[in-house]
Formats: sequence, structure tokens, C-alpha cells
Amino acid sequence: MFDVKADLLKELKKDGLGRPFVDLFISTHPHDDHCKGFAGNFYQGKVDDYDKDKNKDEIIIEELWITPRGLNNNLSSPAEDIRKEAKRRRKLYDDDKNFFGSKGNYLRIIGYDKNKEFDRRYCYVPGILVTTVHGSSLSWLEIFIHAPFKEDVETSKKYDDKNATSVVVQFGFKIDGYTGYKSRVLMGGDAEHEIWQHILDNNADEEKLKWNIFLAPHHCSWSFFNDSDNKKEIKPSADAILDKQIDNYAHIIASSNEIKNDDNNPPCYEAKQQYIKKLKLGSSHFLNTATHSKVGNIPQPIVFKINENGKTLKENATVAGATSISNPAPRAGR
Amino acid sequence: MTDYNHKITNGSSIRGEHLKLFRAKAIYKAAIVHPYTKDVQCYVNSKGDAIIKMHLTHLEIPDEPVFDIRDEEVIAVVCHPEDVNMPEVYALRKDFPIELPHSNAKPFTRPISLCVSDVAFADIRPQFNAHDFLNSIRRWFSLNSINKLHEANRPLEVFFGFQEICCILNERSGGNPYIKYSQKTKYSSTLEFVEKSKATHYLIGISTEKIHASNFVRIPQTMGDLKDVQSTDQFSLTDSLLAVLTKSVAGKATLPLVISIYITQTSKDDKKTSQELFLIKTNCLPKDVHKKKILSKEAFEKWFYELSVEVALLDFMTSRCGNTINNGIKDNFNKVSVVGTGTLGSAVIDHWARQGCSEEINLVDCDILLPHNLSRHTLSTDKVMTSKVRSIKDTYHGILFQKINAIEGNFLTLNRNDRERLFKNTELVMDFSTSIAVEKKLANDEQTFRRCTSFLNPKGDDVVLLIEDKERNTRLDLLEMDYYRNLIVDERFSQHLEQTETVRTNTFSCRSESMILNYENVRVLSAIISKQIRKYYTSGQACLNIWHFDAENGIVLSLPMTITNWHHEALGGIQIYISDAVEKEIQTMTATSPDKETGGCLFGSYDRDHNSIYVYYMIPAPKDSIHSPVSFVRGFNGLTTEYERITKLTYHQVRYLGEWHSHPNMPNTPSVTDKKQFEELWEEQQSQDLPFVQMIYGNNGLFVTAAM
Repeated sequence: MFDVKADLLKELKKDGLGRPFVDLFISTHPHDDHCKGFAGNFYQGKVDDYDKDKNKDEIIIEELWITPRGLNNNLSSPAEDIRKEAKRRRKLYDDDKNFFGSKGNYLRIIGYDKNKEFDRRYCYVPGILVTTVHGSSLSWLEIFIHAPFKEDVETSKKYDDKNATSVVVQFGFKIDGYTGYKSRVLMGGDAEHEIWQHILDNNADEEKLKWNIFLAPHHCSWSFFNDSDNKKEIKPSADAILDKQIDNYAHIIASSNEIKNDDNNPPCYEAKQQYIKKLKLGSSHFLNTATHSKVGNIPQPIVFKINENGKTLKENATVAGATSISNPAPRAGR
Repeated sequence: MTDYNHKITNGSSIRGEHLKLFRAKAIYKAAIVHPYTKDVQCYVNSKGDAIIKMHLTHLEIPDEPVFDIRDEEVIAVVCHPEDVNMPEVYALRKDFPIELPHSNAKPFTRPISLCVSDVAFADIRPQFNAHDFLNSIRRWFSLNSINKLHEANRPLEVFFGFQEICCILNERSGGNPYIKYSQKTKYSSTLEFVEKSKATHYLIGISTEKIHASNFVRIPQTMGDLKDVQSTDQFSLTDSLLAVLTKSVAGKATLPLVISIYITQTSKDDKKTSQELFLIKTNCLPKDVHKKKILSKEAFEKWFYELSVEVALLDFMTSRCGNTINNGIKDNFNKVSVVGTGTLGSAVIDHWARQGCSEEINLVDCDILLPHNLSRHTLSTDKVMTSKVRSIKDTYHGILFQKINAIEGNFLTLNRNDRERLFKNTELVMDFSTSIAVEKKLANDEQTFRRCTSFLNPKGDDVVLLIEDKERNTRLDLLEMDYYRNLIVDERFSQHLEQTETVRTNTFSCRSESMILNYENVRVLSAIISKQIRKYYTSGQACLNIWHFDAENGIVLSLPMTITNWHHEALGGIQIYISDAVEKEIQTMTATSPDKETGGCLFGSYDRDHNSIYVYYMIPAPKDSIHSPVSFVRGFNGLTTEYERITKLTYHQVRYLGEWHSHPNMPNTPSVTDKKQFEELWEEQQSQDLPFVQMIYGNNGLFVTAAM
């Protein structure tokens, strides 16, 4: 089992009142496996009402991104929690034309929503380069939004295909004193090959699709390469996206359970093999969150550090004796 | 130099479980379970070495490394049967970068030998852990990939690796090329600039261009290996040397050649610089170069470039300035003089010389080092029966720019020249002679230098320091008198001059040398005195202090003594000094007897050489004294006991000096009776070779009269 909350709290900063916070939370799409645990772990409501005891260790979201589909009805309970928080924030904008966001109340809806008028104060559409978050300019990060497109949002509604509304973004990490990005991360939630093809069709700047780290879509599902039942043919979109890796040292991360050589999908063993085949340094640069590094039986986060030398995959320091103390001792006694 | 030495990591394949060397086995076991290690293979060679090859994966290497190190590298760990050095580690990749920081220079280019630890294996061995060892190799790759293995706060790495350290003993004068080179041990030697007839080698100095440090240690083995080092814009070190040999030296020098090379390294950001002087030893004679010039250019260069060389790091003999820096000394003297070089004196001199406290130190003593002195003297056994001052001078002779002058003689009878040498421009005279006469002579000298005296008590657990103030308001002789007074009046010092059964001494001084002292105590207390003298000199204040060493508990107590003010009267040729403590006590006694005369006895010391009397203690009227408004007859009840007490406390330094009495509400003019008393007691004192002092305290102050 992962202990994401513990890992997150270890990394997150705290505000002046000792409350943990994230600058930005992106809800890529309203599937359970992307929404579970929102309530209880992330703070919902007015920041002024945060109770240090009652809400202990609940993480304040400074700015929340959500897709139009995430704001619609017919959602599971966990997705509903995010929707509720997003609607609370949207109301602040709708009630006051002069409201441009405040601590713990910033909201961005990613992609057009036919039912709502486009409001520049809290809406982003594909093709936008985001350089500010919760009203502050980010000197070290730029985010380019690739998806969801209007037609995919519509498809999603029509066929209730929530994956089709996945937010797809490129994160460009910058370092003071250097021009350009020092490392780029391409993430597409659960976007499947049709979405990636749409992105390729609509993308005007080659640089915006390049990556040093690529998050294998849909938990290393075959759907990035083709329809799930066809393992022989690979759609051109997959090749095109994987060819956008930068230099020789790019990494692909599969955020999934352990990928075994079976018929499971996701994670899909054939998908993993395809990724490894495409990576310039092969299997050593394909990392699986479930297996990359463990303390005892608990998988540890995959951490990259980005500095003037680009990205560095941090290893989990191993010390002699760690194995013995991170597992229960064998039974002792008579 | 061979390119890739395969032999070093080759051997016959063996299963890891079958490895015999304990160290190799441990590394193998750690490697197969390490989460970031794979393809572990083991080999043994004919020398009995065990070689463990493995891939290190997931090394923390950035996408844009400073050096071409990859996140997966193949290494070989070589364990030797002797197990006295850290197992060797080699990076096996055929194009692994060379000359990286903390890689070991080898007689082959590759595989690259990694220096994974700069701690001696002997220190690591007891707690060696194979897992940590593998992690230290990983750390080597990761940190070197971003050029951070050589930490920013560490000095630059030495430019040439060396097997020998050579100390330059003296200064070179006028470009003298003749040296006496002496091998001292397998790894050490000395170099001394000497006249031609005593020389063993001919020295050529070659300068080099400033070099950007790579923190890679080179180990040149031939003259050709020095070609990498740039001497000037155009020429390598080797070429420059050749030019010197062929143009200016060849044919003239017949001695074997040694080359001194001055290397200046700077870090790339110019923030750190190191300067090192190396001695390159060759078996080349300059005349050989001259002879070989008849060869073709190619043949000559081949001969010259293949001449073997050895590198020694040159170090300069320590200097006075170096000693001050190493000891963090800031209060430097130009010139000090030391009188007395016995137990305490030699120890303080040792501190001062090794700390470089003074540019020039004069030493005066007439003593020789007797065998029994060796038990607590800084001089070594080979100096026995030699002059102490000369031998001390010889001991510190090698310290560059440290001038020590030895004046062999008795301070009290020094001739004019020696006195001038001693005192001229001296800022401080330190007296460790244990002689009261020396201290008094110093006290009465009119020159302006500061002076102090210090001595140990008979048991050697107390050290006393008397130092005059900058203006000399509190002279040494007065401090000495205050010292006695404190011994009498302050309970803390009741054991100070206590004698032990084993004492071998006379009764003229409490500071006789021939007492049993413990050398451990001496070293502790001498260190304190050494520092306190400098402290009080800097502050300009006078000091009268005892430091007591409680050896049992390892505690040193500082026991300050009271310094009093002194009233001075000159009566004819006699100088009378009266401590204001005595005056105040007389005033108090007089005030407590306002209608009747009162009085008591006066105690102190005298100095016939300087016609001085010091009155610093008073005993009030004994109980059997007879008081009336116009007369006072001093009784004697308890006086003998008190006199014995103070004699014991001061070890015979205090004498009965005379009488005092009061004239309540009357002037202090001596009456006929008073004058008669003076005559009678003076006669009595004279018969015992003592001076006599009479004091009368009246409503107009103190009347003092004395005879010696």
C-alpha cells in the first residue's frame, strides 16, 4: 500500500498558521481512482473556517483545476466531493464580478463548457501557457495546457467517457540564471490514443510536446497505443508522442500496480514493453511507482530533483540494516 | 603508459559463495541484495585477489552531468589477501572520463581507479560495512557527475602525488643552487642550502603557469610525464628544464640534479588558491645532458623524456610567524628577556618559542644542566652538563626568523655589554630565577621595560606571578611585600609555603630550586603563567596572583592577592615603604582608643643593598600593654606565638621591624620618652643586625623615623 498522505505531508510547505498547503491541485478527470480520499485529506470550504484540531493535516488547495465534466452531475461520491469544492469556489466568482480569487478560493475550469459562458477570470482553454498560480507568478514553472478539447468534452458527455476529458499538460521547469526549460514533464491523466491524436493534430509548437519525463497514460494502459483489444497495432499518435523524448536520459513513469506479464490492463505488460522499446536507455529508465523503491513493503515516491544540471532521479538512501528494521522481526519465543 | 589495463580486473570466474577472502565475501553478499546493483560476477586471480564486478544502477546522475558519468556504470572491486588497504574500485567503462577529481593516478590510463574514501582504511576497518562501501561508490559517481565530490570547503587537492616529504631547513641566499640533501627515513628528507664544497646536489628552480585545479593527483614517473605541465605560454615544464640545462647550466654543474617546481593552482571560480613546492629528483647529471646533445634530436628527446623522476613535496621549516598562526597568537613582542632558565623558565620559554610570541628572546643564566634537572626541564638528555641557555638556544635554532640570544652568566654580575644586550629595546623582562636578589635588582632598575617575576611554591602546586603595571606605579619589590602580607592575612594561603619532609633547601629563600616538584604540575602551571604574563602585559595592569593546581581533581584555582598602596618616606639614605593597609590599621586602632595612647609592633622586610625598609604588617597592642592618656607601654602577651606564625607563613621572610604608638588628640612629634625608646630599641635591633622603625600617629598624621 502507498502512504501518499504521509509522503505528501513530508514534502509540503506549511503556511504561517502551520497548515499544509499545495499551490495547485489538478483534478484531471472525475474517475474514482483519481478522486478517492479527496475528502478528509484535502480541506474543503472557507480557509477562515480551518480548525487546527478538527482539520488537522488537511491540505489547503490554493488553486483548484477541474474539467467541465468534473462539474457535471452523475458523479461518484469521491468525485462529488471535488465538484462540491469547485462549485463553492465558482460561486464566489459568479456572485462577485470583481472577484479574482483569494487564498484557498482560486479556481480554474480547464476546457470549454457549452453550458457556461467562458469567463476569463477562471477558465483556461487548450493552447494557454500558464505562468501564474493563485495570483502569484511562478518563476520556476510554466504549464502548457493541451487538452481537453471542446469536442472531447462533448464526446465525454455523450458516451460518459470521463477519460476523454482528461487534462493534458506539459510542465516546464526553469532554473534561475538559465534560459529555457531545464526539464519538461508531459502528463495526460487517463487520456487515450484518440485524445493524443487530437493534441498532435492541434498542436502548433513542437516544443510543447517534448518531455524529459512522461507519465504513462491511464496507469500504463494499452489504450495509449491502441484500442484495448488490439495489441499488435500501434497508433501513430503513440509513436509520435514517445518520439518527443529529449536527449538520451528521458524517463517514463507508470503510476500503477506492479506490471506483471499477464492479461491485466491497466497496467498492461505489452504497454510497458513498448515504452521500454522506445526509451533510449531502455528498461532502466522505465519506472513503476509500485516497484521502484520500497521501504519494507511500502512503495516510496519517485523523486526527481531539477537543478542547473537538469533532472536527477533521487535514489532512496539505503543504509545497512534498513531491511531488518523495515520489516516485522521473525517470530521469537518458545 | 598503457591504455587499458585489463589484467588488473581479470581472473577466473568463481561463484560468489565460494569466495575465500572475508572482505570479498561481504561485498559480494551486500551487492547481491543491494536494490540498485545487478549482474554481480566474481573472479579470482593468481595473486589471490578477489574481483567482484557489478552494474550499479539508478545512480543519481542528472540529465546534463558535468562529467560523462551515466546512471548505470560497471565497476570492479578488487580485494587483496593482505586486507590492509581499502578494496580497490575501478570504473570499467572503456570511455569513462579520465582525470576526474578523486580518481587515483595509475601507471595505466584505464580502468579508472576511484578514490572512494580519504580516511585511512585502518580507521574504517573496525566498522567496515560492505553495504555502506557500495553506497560510498555510488556517492562517488553521483557527486562527481555534478563536480561536487571535492567539497567546496575543502582545500584543493595536491597537484602531484608524492612518496616523500622534504623539509627545507634554511633560507636560500642569492640564488645559491648548492644544496645538501639528506634522506632521513624512507619517506622523509631534508634540504639545506650550503656552500658548494658541502653540497650533494645542484638545484634548478622552474616556475609554472597558474593552473586551474582539477583535484586530480598526477604521479609523474618520467621526465616526459612533466610535459603536461605548462611552464610558460609556449613551453612545457620539461622543455623549460631542458632549455635551462642546455643553455645555462650544462657543463658547469657536476652534481646530480634536483628540480624545484612551484605550482600555483586555482579553483575554476578563482576563489581558492593553493601553492605547492615540489622537488623532482632525477638521476640526471647536467653534464650528461651536455654529452647526449650529440645525439639526434629524436634520440636525445627519447633519452631525456624517459629519465625516471621521483616527486617529493617540499615543506619549509617552521617559522616564528608560522608558529604564531598555528597557535592563534596575536599578542606578539619584538623582544623579551628571560632571567633564569630552570624548571619554570625553560617551560615558559618552550611555550613562547613554539608559539612564536616574540621575534627575539634573550636568555640569561649561568647554570648548567645537571643530571637531576632532567626530571623537570625541557632540555633533552644529550644536553646534560651543558650551559642551559646555549642548549635552549640550540633547541629552537631551526625555527626560521626566531632569534634567540644566549647570555651565559649571572644576572647580578653581568658586564655592561651583556646588560645592554639584555635590556636594549626589551619590552618585557621575565624573571624565573627564584632569586629575590634578581627580583630586587630588576625592581630597582630605572629603565622603562615591563618586568615580572614568577616562581613555584615549595610543593610545586602553586605558581605565583608578580607583574608590574605599565606605568611602574606598583614595582616588583612592593608586589613581593604585598605577597608576604597576603600570606599572613589571607587564610587561603595558609598552606602555600608549607614545607614537605623531603625538602632540601636553605632558609634564605622560599624559592629554592632544590625542592621536590612534580613535572606534571610544572607543565600545567607554566602554561598558565605563560599566557597570563601576555594577558597582563597587554592590559597594562599590575598582577599579584597565585594559581593553585589541585592535581587530585584536575582543577586549577585562580587566587588573586590584594595589592596595597605604598607610602614612601626617604629618611637620609633610607627608603621606607609603608603599606597603606598598615596605616589604615593604625588609624583604626587609634580611633578605638581616643583618650589613651595605644600602639603595637611593626613587621616587614628590608633590603640592605638598596637601603630599603618595607613595613606591611602590624600587631596591635597585646593584652598586657599599659595605656594612659600620655604614655603607652607595649606588652608582650602572645607576641612570640604570632611572630612564629607569620615567620612560618612567610618562610622566614618577615622580620620584626619596630614599634608604633598613638598620640591621641596630639601632634605626632616624638616626646623625650619616645626618643629614648627609639635609642634603646635601635641599639637592641642593631645587636641583632636588624633595622629599627618607629611610628607615631598623631592628630597631624604619621611620623616615621628609622635607622639601619
